Amino acid sequence: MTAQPMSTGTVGIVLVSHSAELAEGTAHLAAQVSGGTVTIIAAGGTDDGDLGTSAAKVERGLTQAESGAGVVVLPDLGSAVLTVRAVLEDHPRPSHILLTDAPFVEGAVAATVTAAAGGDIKAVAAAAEEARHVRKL
Amino acid sequence: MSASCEQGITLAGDLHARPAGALAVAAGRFASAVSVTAGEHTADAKSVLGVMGLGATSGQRVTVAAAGPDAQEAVTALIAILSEATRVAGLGRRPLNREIAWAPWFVRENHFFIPNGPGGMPWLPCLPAAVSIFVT
Repeated sequence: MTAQPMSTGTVGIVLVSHSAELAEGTAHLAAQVSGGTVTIIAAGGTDDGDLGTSAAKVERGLTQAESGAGVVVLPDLGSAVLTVRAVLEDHPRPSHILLTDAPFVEGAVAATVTAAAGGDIKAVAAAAEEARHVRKL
Repeated sequence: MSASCEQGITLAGDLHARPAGALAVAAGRFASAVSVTAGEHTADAKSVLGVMGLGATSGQRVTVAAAGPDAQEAVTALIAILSEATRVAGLGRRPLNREIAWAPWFVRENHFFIPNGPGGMPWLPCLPAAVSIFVT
């Protein structure tokens, strides 16, 4: 992990979940554990509040989470990946976004803590993906 | 100058999510490699999940070790966080009465844990790596 930020600001996190409650709850938990200094955007549920994903919410989340250092995106299930990829196809700066393959809760917490410590976008994404290999027991 | 440094502390509370997060955020700001050891398990202090995975509990002795250009600052900062954060951790729990009853007087009276050096010795300053090798 590097402690040098890529540019000004910390890396932002976007949590894309099929459930608004799951995204909000995970964002709340990650913020508490990391000390609340990182922008974490919950993009959960469809536009009308049902279970599912919303390209509009993801797109807004990417904009809100960007502070110059890039954004790391965590999808909860595979079909959320489809939505994120569709949004990224039209994104003006896709190189500033990293879509990660990580456990949702553990990845969100690990990524946020690394971002809070000043890690760059690659370090934050790596922290999320390494969460898969960290045992709880 | 590169140095290695190590210091132990007895936890005032369980190493739950908030103190583990505070520890990992602080550790990530240092250039040195930093580890936390509890019992037989050692974790990268910069990995919040690894630190939580230690399952370190109130009253347990943990050791913070660092190697690198800012090793001493890292160990000093992380011991301070462990001392404070495990004591006030909102996601943790309060010590059980039986734990308080058995704690030394300075712990019961002040709710304060004195960080010790390796092997229970009083605090020792970190030494440059070359000197450490000579001494040990």
